[in-house]
Amino acid sequence: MSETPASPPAALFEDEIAQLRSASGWARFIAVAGFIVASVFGLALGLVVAASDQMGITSIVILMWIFGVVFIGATAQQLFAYSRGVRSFLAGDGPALPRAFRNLRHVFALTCLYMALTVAMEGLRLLGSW
Amino acid sequence: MTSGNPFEPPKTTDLDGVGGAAAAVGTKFTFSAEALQELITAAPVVRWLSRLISVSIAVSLVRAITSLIKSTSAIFTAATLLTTALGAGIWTLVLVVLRRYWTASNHLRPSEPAVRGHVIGAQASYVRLLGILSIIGLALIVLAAALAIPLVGGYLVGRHAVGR
Repeated sequence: MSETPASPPAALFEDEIAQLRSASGWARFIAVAGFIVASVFGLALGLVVAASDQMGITSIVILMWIFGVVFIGATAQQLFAYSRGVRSFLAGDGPALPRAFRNLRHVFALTCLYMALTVAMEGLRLLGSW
Repeated sequence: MTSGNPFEPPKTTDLDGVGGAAAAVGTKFTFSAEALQELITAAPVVRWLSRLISVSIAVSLVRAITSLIKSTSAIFTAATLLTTALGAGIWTLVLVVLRRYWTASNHLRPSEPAVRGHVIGAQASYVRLLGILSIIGLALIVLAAALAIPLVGGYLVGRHAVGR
């Protein structure tokens, strides 16, 4: 990727590299854990839907469950991409770092969306309870 | 020039600025303008996330209070208090790190490498915190599954037996 003449690439310091390496490792761990949790919760969703009448589970709970599974899966995917991007950058692929930062921005955006939905649903439940 | 030791602290000349001789004492890895732009673009998203988390904490507190007002069971009251306190505590921790991230990324300028370091540090802190929370969450999920599977299974088997 070419750089603009006005802002030449700056060298990263050792501590910044260490921070990026640490973040990459944690992100990979979270992504793998997220994939496992999304799979288990996705399988459990079938059981919950099947037993919803017997166990008195409301449709809003099922809806939040679906949102949760989709959110965890998508976030895990983006974190995995972030981890892979940082590792590629540390392996010498310079343009991989902006891609990794973009993936992390997507994680923030996904979390925003999930939080907005959760707040809206909690608000509705709160209004309904009064 | 670096010695190759990953634990070597940064030299004082590294903190003098970027470009020219100062940049040469950094690592071989370069931070492009595109990467910087991505960090700057993320700042408003992080700010919105902080706001939404604050609202979520407030809503959960209001919900807990309404539940407590209506509650007639001591066990339910205790469970509500515990889950609300845990949830609010965890989200407050996330909020603190996010605010640090947002404050640093809000001050990002191409000519200030020290701020860039703060953003990368906050980013690493955020991901590390999520990792630690994931470990706790996984442990809780395993514990809940270990308790719920026999309970729900027994309940369904019992209902089936009574129905027959």
